[in-house]
Amino acid sequence: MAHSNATDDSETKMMFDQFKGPNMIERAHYLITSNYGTPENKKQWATKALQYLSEINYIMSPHLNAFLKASGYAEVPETVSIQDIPNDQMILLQKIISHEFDEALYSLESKKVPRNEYYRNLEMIMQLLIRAKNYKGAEELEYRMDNIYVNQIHETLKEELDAYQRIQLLSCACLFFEEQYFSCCSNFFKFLENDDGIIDLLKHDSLDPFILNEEFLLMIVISVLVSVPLDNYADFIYLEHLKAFFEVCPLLIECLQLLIDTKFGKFFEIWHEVVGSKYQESPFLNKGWVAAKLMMRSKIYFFYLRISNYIHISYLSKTLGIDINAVREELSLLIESAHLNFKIDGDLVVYKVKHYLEDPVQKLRENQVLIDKELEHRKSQNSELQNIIHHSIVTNEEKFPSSRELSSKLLEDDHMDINDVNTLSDAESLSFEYEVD
Amino acid sequence: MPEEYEDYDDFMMSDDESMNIDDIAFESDEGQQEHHTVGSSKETETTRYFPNIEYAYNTGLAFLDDREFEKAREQFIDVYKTVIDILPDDKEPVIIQFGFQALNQIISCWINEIPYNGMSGQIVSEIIRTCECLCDFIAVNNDDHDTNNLAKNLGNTFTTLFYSNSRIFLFDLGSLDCSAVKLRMELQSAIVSIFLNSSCLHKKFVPLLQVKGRVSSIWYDCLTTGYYSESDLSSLRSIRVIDNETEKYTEDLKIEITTVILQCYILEFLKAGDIKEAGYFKESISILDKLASKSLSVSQTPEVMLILHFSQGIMLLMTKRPDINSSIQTSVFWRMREAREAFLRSLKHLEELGRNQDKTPHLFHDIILAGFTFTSMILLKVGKEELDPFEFEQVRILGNQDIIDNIQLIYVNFMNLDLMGLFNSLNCMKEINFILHHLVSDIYELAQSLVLWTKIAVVYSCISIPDLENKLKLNEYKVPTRDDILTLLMQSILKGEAMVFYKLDLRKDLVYFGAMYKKQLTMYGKESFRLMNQNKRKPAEAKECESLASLSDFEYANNVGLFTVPRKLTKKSNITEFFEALKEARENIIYIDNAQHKSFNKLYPKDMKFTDKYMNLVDLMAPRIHD
Repeated sequence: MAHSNATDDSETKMMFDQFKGPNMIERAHYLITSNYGTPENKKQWATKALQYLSEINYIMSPHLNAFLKASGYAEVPETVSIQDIPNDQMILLQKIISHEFDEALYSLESKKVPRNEYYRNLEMIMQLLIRAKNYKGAEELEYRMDNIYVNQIHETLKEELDAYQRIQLLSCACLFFEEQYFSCCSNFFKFLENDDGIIDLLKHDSLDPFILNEEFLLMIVISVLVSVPLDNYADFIYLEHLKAFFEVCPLLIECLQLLIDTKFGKFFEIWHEVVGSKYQESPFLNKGWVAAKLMMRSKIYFFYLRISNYIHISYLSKTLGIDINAVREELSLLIESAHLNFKIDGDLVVYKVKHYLEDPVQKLRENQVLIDKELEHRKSQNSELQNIIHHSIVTNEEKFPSSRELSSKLLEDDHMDINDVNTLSDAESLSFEYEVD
Repeated sequence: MPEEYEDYDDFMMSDDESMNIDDIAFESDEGQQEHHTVGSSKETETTRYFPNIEYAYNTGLAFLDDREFEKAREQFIDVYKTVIDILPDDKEPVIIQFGFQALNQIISCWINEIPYNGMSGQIVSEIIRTCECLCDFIAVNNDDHDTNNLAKNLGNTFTTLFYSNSRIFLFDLGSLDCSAVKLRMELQSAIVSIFLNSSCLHKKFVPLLQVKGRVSSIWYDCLTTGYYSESDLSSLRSIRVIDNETEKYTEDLKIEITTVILQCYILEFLKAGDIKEAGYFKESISILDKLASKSLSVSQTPEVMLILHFSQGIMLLMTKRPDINSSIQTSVFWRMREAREAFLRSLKHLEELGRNQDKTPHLFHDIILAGFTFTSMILLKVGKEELDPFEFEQVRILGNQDIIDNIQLIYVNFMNLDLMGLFNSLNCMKEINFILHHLVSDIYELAQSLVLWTKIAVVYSCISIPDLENKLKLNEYKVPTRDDILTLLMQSILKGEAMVFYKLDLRKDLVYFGAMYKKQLTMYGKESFRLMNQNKRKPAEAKECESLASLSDFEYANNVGLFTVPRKLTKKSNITEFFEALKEARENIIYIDNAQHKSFNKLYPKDMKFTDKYMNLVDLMAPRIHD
């Protein structure tokens, strides 16, 4: 165990070391506030972040206090500052570090951009929108992708082409952040089909990466596993044009192969250990993990429910290598959420069919009770009212004897009109009484 | 190191500048000699004339032409002796060349004599002695600045010495009388060590000699102990020859390296039924494949092509192993078809080599034959191929009758899906059964799956898992476990091979077969799906507008596949079609899907009834009651 921890640490260090500038600052903040790494690690990350802030002579980061606390420094350490950053870039940098994204965005959007830097500028805008968590806005940048221009890029600039491709990747990443896994992977693979240059891009990280290739690939792995139906995994792996992708992403093929062979236990080992531990390191993967984990498990549970009438929870727990209480909890969640025709009875999950009208009948019964209640209520109101009227008539007679003649006269009048008498019959008595009231 | 290889460019290049007298030498090709004697006729102005020496030399060549090896040698020895006598006083380049070429011709005489008089210890020691002479001669007379740099011109000498060793395979030594080959490998080792230890060796020959040294060591070990040493193989693998397309020499050396490596791996396969370093095996195959596709002469050398195709065949059989199959995805039938093709080609190469008439048993012939027939019968059974393997002429001619009878028995048992018979007949051929165990396990797996779906599922409407174990057993000891049965059942769904609908009762361990067991898993449609919050048991989101499903609910339901009709995409589709089809399935709600797709009935019964519609109706009333 101790050994594997040590290797994990060194990997983290390497992953973290690939980031520079504002990317490094944000990653450092994420890592020191997550429960990842030792206090010693956190100290190193925070120190590196502080050093950078000191180098560029700008400390207005919202994370400054967190860095100081984790590093143990009382104030930002003095270092030789970097002087050669041009003024306009420096202002942008400061705005990014201080999280003034709107202003940074404004400055990028209002800048006059030469044609051959168009996509690099657009990529920065996209990164800003993602930093500001405005994923919808980031996706909408797609409308500004100019296909005619891209064809010309091939003859012009590799940097522009790379930026163009990275924008596409970022737009897939945005879908991932919004947990739209199906759109994420289907967009990615359609993009891949049209432009296999993306494979090369995924082999080498850029010099100042915003999202690592490793993270992109994990997003795709998670998206495919979660959103492609189990029955279609076997179709998926034999698709043409995917061989090159599987070569850069062997994890995906390994997982799919295990799933197709129904080695679910082994698959979940990888899923929980490899995928689950990577997510901790990355602020971008982190947020979707809980949902993705539940979905993947539910997917397998549902597969078992689909093929069996009776199944033991302990069997599922053992075959899948998932804690028995978690299986029970997640299964009952699934059954409730989808109104599945299954009941959990102790350790056993049993298919229990309901008549399709059972629920409506139940509901109708409830309605009936409600109506009965209402009727009862109204009935009692009626009789109360009758009592009140009766009472007041009696009182009136006592008080004003002459009124009795009056009323009898009235009654006589009424008797003369047979229709009026009918109006007073039971059916309408309610309304009549209300009127009197 | 790399700089040592760079000189290969000029190594075999018999360009006029650097080798003007070298043309005297002849090129040996598989013992067939053809040479041209232009030496003295190609005089330059600076060349002096030495009639005696030249006469003796040419006489020697004539004798050699007439296969008078003894007489030829005497002539060349004379030349050499004369040269040695003159040299201390007269260091004329032409004289030196004559001395050098005379020694080379002496070597040629011995080597060319071997096919006629056989290999012997005497020849070995004579050649070794001559090589030592040659080294000494070069050490004394070499002039680095001379255009006739002797050390650099040893190329043809080596071509003669290391003549091609074809038609014998490292993995097929069993029935051969190998003493001659053994002697040759001893000779080769000795030559390599003489030259590698000599001060006169030009650095450009170092890799060549290293390769020859390793190769002879591998051969020698195999001939004496039956196996090679791993260290020889790994050092042979680590020798890299720099690419040079114009150079036939580098190509030959590469072919030698890869064919020997592949032969080692084939030997391992024939001994163990598996290859440990499968990654290297695969790599070597692709190197040889590339070389063969670039060169017509390679692709028409049956020995090399036999090694290539046989290797491809056995690799395809092992493709299930994750280390081999890391990136290339192939369905089992694609693999079988490719393997069958590779074995068929191997059979044809055997025919080209005239080996088909050979009635002595060769294990690797049997393996090729078994590989071809087994893969054919698999393809035949699943209807992907219509050719009866026993119709092939190569099959009928190659094997001895016992083998053919046995294989035919296996074939019949497999076609009849007689599991116990299949197991017994395969076990009659212990060795083949062991070596081809990857393929054999594929055969069992497929046969069991076919028995399950075509013999059991269609007959029984309910069967217990222990009964299934019993029906799918190979013999009394090879009974599938409960987990095996469940895996077989479940895999069939994921691979699209399940032919009959089934349901499991894991409480009583029963399997129900038949569409009548289809049941509605939920009475509610997708619109009514709400993901409950794990703790509070209420819809996770949308507390206020409970009547509306949130986007994440739909995503969840779709991803889990709760309301999606499982649909196999049968035809090979491209990425866009694949995702479009999935998208359509996600967006449709099952009961709308009904009419359009026949596969609808795969999971759900025909008469689906949905509670939620009635519920909606009932719910319409509820709020009015309170008004």
